Amino acid sequence: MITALFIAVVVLLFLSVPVAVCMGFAALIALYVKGVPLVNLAQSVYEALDSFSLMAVPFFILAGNLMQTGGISRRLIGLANALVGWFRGGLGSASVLASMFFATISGSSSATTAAVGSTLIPAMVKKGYPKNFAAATCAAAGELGVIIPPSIPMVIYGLVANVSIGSLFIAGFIPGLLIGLSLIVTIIVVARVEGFDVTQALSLREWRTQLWKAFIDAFYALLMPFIILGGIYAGWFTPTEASVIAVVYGLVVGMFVYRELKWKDLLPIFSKSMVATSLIMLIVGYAAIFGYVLAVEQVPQNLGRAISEFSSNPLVFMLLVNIMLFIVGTLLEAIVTIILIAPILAPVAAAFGIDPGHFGIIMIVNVAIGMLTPPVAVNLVVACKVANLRMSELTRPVCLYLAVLTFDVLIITYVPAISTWLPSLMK
Amino acid sequence: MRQLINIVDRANKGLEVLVGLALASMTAIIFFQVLVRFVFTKLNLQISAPWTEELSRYLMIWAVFIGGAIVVRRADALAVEALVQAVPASFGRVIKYCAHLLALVFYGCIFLLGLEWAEFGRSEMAPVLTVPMVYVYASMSIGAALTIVNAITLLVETYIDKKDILEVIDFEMEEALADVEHALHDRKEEVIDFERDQALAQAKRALAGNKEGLTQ
Repeated sequence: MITALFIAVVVLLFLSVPVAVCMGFAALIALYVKGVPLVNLAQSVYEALDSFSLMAVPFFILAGNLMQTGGISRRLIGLANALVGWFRGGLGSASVLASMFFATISGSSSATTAAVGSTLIPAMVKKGYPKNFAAATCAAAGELGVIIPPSIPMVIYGLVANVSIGSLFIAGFIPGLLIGLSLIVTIIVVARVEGFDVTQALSLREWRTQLWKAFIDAFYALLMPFIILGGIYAGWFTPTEASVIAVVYGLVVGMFVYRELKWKDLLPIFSKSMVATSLIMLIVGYAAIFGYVLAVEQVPQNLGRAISEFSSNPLVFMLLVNIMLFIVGTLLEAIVTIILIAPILAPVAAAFGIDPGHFGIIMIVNVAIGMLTPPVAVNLVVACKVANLRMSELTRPVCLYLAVLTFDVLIITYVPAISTWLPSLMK
Repeated sequence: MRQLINIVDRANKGLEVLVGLALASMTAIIFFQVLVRFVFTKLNLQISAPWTEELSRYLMIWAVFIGGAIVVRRADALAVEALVQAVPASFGRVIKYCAHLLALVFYGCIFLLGLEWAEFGRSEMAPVLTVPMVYVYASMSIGAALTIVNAITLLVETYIDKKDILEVIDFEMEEALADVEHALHDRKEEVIDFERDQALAQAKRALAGNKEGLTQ
């Protein structure tokens, strides 16, 4: 049965059958081979979808779309630029910072890359940045969208691996800061070595007035993460409740404060968000029956035994996990990777005594890097399209960023406190 | 044939409105629940609304199955395109057609299984709303039926319009870029000095340009 399952999945995936169908179909074949009544499939799919926690996905997608149309994203970019745009390498740093602000609202990385890239890639080119470096910067910074909460992959991970979504959100915060800082340092060093982005003469007073103006302008946008994260952190509301508050907040700010969101925009945004949601949710649903088959066949247990025979050292295990996720991440989309791998590896990690939240962050950061590794690299494709470059032209700067990010992954992997410290304060 | 395609497309527009409304209702319902939990109790208004969570979950299930069908009409679903892109286009096309046919077979199975499952729902009641669960369980079969209609429409359309089955639009990307254009278009004041028209033209060119292979 298990052989049938894996052969079917691999064959179907490579035939470019939609992932949801791959998982459902493979599970169906496996159930048939085993002689289990097929109607179990329908039941599993319903049980998976009938979940209040899962409802955070459509709401966070919707909130991100509302912010985009409502003019919030533009103000965040303005603020980031006013803050750090003035020093050498500052504009590149501003694109990282803008992505970080953005990530506190949006749970998606390609949206982050597109929004920040379309404004800041041309601006960077104008200030003498090589175009490919500018595009690679925005693509690399875009991955912060899923690491800094809220994050759709974290919602999915929390569900499939049975970890508290709220504590995953909190856990992602410091790793996100670490990655953001490491990217900023890289940009400053590269700008200095290659000698682009000349420093602008800017008096302290000028800087202050500009910053104040941008801050006032972006004030309502900045309040958002405090409401969402603060509310979850303080234990006031669940992630799903926080997500709906984000939606209502985005509606109010976009429609009545910034007045950029019109009534006629609303229905298309709702429709678009729900359609995008169903794409993800169908995979979640059909993955449930896939996971059921895996559990029945005790795949995680067997895999765990095989790995512990190979090495009983959790450090080696984590290294293997990182390497595997890197390879899988080049081929599969982030959410797909999580849905396929997390149900298998999370129990193994737990058996090795690794904190489930920490392991979740390791997976999230790895799949985020997968967005930069071709052939399947959402962020690179978006950045290339915005900058009008070919992917091959980005190879050098992307390799540099990948090296930095790999270093970050290793730090996050081997220093658990980075991911476990904040959540531990929560309890 | 063309007329049939038009009918299907109009129906899809209607479905899009429906899923949009479903999400809007979910927002309203869950926000109401939050109000009940935090605000109304503070004001000593004793309202209990146990139906909110259940109703919104069922709305979501319906919207997911219907939305999944809409996606198929746009030839868009998350799939691994690496092999299709790597082999010569003619072979890639064969693979892609196989993929569509396999998906059709699968949704045929889902349609039948969904019917069988809905049958169970006739005697089962929703815990709070006390309606027969068949009204929720039917979503799977109906979604599968709509998916099949849309998949066939897509195949027929590629056939009569002689479109290339490999020219699958990447929906997420298209959306992101449409947003970019929207944002640039609506810009009233220039926060940052950059050449707006150039960026807009670039975004447009990228949209109009041929789909560059992911492997490039």
